[in-house]
Amino acid sequence: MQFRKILIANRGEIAVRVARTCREMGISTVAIYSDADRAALHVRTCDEAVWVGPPPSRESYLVIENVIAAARTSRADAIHPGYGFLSENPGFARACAEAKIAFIGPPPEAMEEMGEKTRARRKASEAGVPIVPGMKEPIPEGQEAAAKEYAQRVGYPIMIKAAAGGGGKGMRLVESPKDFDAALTTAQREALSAFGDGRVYLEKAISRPRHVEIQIFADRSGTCLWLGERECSVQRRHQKVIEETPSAVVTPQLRAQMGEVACKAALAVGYVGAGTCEFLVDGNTRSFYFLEMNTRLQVEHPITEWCTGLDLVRWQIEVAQGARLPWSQEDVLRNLRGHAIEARLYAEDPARNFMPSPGIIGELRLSAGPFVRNDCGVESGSEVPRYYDPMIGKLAVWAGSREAAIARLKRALFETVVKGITTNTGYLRRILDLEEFRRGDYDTGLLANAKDRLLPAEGKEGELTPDQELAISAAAIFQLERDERVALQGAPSTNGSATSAWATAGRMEALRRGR
Amino acid sequence: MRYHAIASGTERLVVVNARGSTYRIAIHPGPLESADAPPRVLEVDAVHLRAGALSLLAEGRSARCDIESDAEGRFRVLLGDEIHTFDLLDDRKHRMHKAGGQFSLEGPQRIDAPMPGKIVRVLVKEGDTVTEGQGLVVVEAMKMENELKSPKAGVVRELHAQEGQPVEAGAKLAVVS
Repeated sequence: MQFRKILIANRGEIAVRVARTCREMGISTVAIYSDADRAALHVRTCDEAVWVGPPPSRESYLVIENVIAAARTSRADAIHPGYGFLSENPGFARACAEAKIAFIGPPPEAMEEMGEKTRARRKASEAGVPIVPGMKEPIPEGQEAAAKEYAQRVGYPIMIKAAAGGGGKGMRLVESPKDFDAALTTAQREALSAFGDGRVYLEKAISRPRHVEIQIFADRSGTCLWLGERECSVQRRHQKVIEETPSAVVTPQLRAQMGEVACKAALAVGYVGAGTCEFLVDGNTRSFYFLEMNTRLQVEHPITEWCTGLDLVRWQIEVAQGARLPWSQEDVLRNLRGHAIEARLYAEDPARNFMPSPGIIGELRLSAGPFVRNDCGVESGSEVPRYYDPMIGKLAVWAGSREAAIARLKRALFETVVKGITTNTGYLRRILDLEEFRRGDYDTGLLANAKDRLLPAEGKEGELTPDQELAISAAAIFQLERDERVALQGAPSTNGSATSAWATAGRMEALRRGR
Repeated sequence: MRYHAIASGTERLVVVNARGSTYRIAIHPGPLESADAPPRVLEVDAVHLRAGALSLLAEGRSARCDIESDAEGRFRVLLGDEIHTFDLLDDRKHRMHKAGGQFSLEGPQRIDAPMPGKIVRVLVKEGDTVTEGQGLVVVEAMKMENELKSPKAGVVRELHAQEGQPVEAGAKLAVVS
């Protein structure tokens, strides 16, 4: 079957990204929006838009009935869930099926097997895939004390994770028993707020761990391909910040091994569509452990698209329409080339402990040029609402080698200007300059360990750098011009100036015209 | 025109004069003009591109520059790919600044909500004794929890935060003295 109209059950950059492929395929699109998103870019990017509720996502983007109703009214024949929100909710996939709307994602049964992390680990373990020691079930209600004893038995440090989760929400590393209770409470509350499910489980934390994930793709005929790995160890509080492919620790043999294991895990649950198996790779021994499977498109999918030349959203739609995968595993190996890196742009202030920085974007200038890709959910004048994730976009580049890709990403970050809100662009650039990152020798502790080196360079007392001098000069010119404009308009001048008003007016005219 | 630049705790006198679209900027090493310490002088050709964006030609270098400033004279200047933050004050603001003594942590300290969000936890009560850096209130915004800490050791004199309450940016949450 061919879809005529797809409802995109998401917001922000991923809704825009999915709409782009739909437009290329000649499929019309329906956006959904909350009261906070009426003016959002994704609404304007789609052909139609339906309101689904008030700003909090639990009252809008997460309300299954509202989303299904939106698809019915707009007569969409398929729903693309994006990532986050309802994308890994089997109940939503079932509701789509009941409403006779195609869900662009895996069957609900596969989501159930893989969606809940403890169940996925059990399943993987049964298939002979190595897993990190940990609980096989979420902590039952009222069993917090028993969980603490369990943590004691497995040994600290211990990781608390949301059973329904992903993206670092509801996840906490606990170093010692005294922090256990507080961390557990926070993790449960964050999990409840982010996923509507407060259940969490415990896992032993591995030292020098690298987070490496394998992109897989399966069709309904039982073909499953792996599309290479993504190294996602550059994380802050379990939130990915920079991703790259290939990974510096993955050899061709290890890649094939992990790829086969990932496909085996996917086939074991009858998986269909795009999925990602996350592994922890021990940075020293290169042993790998299955962590979980994400049964959706990942935020960082563009780097896989760069190195394979594929449009993964197009494949998702084609597979959902019943098509077979057009490639064999040999085709994948033949096409994999070069190096890609992605940096996530967050509306947050690294200088103020990464405080979220919602607000109006006065001006947004995105990078361009060879092999640069921006996936952005906002534009100049957009408001970044306080209700949702602070990620406003992603910048992904490709180059022939890792070194060239790093240089290109730095160049693209140099071109990126966001005004009005604070973003992490400077922080991203400093990460790329880290010695460990340059060498490719890092683990998930990189950002925490390099914390002090990632702060903006403080000027030495008593001396200005040439850049600081120029910055102060620019500010003085800017302020002079503003003060003179105020003076011209008849406001009382506070600072004496010998310049005649006519000379000032002439100069300002020259400034505006650029001579 | 005379301005006072305060960067990394050092105050400098900045004198700017315009000739056509060329500006002569003298940055003195200290707060006053002094015969012993000559200023650093820059000749800058500046063209205003649009609100808060300048193209600068100075000393053989071409730089683009994006400027944001607030009513208190706090500047954020993006030059190349680095943001420079400093105060640039005219004489009037400079006098107020000196009188305000805003860098001192003596006296009562007000803790404001740094962003709009929701209070998810209140960690202290009015009258509690707190240490510097102790968490007072947890505000949730954009699905992340942020703990607001006490800027100094003291006693919680006022508390205007209730769990579950939505707050706007700048709302007074607590006072520690």
